[in-house]
Amino acid sequence: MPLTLPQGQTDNFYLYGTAPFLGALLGPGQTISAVSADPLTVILTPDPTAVPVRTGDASATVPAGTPTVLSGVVSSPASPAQLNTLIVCTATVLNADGSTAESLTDTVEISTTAATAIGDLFGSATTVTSSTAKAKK
Amino acid sequence: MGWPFDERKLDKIQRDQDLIIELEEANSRKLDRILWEQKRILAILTKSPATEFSFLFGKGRQ
Repeated sequence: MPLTLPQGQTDNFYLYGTAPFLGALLGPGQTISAVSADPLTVILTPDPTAVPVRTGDASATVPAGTPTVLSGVVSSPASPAQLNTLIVCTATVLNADGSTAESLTDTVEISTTAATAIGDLFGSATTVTSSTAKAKK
Repeated sequence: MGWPFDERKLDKIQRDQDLIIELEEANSRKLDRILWEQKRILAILTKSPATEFSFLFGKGRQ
């Protein structure tokens, strides 16, 4: 699913196996890498060791603790080359003999307009005590 | 109606049928889960590597 990243922020990314079961790992000798089509706009920094999906990033379909084959941080330089443009990120799984086993893509957009916080729709609640309750009558 | 029948018996039959459908659905879900788990264990035991992958982005952090 494409990521819209507000400028100046970072996010986690994960690559995980979906078949033959969720959380399947790489085969013997296989390696995986993820590259950004424009590193001057989107930077993918892999973790030294892939970490399982964190609780804060989990969903009903990808629960927390799901093993991953690659994880890291997605970010942008201080002055991204391309703003509000979809940048393709490609993950490639190579077999031990160097042949490509799998290649998949997703997009990241560094946005200058995406909201970074959501305001309250309603005002803050006032605690009603016996004295304020009386005053309201 | 042209013949005598017991409303309560009719209600009971309807409730029983609803229950049977509910149980069938629950059993089907359980079986699906068992099959999925067996497939997962089999893949682990045979060291089957991942054949399909997916990207996941986090939910934001600063």
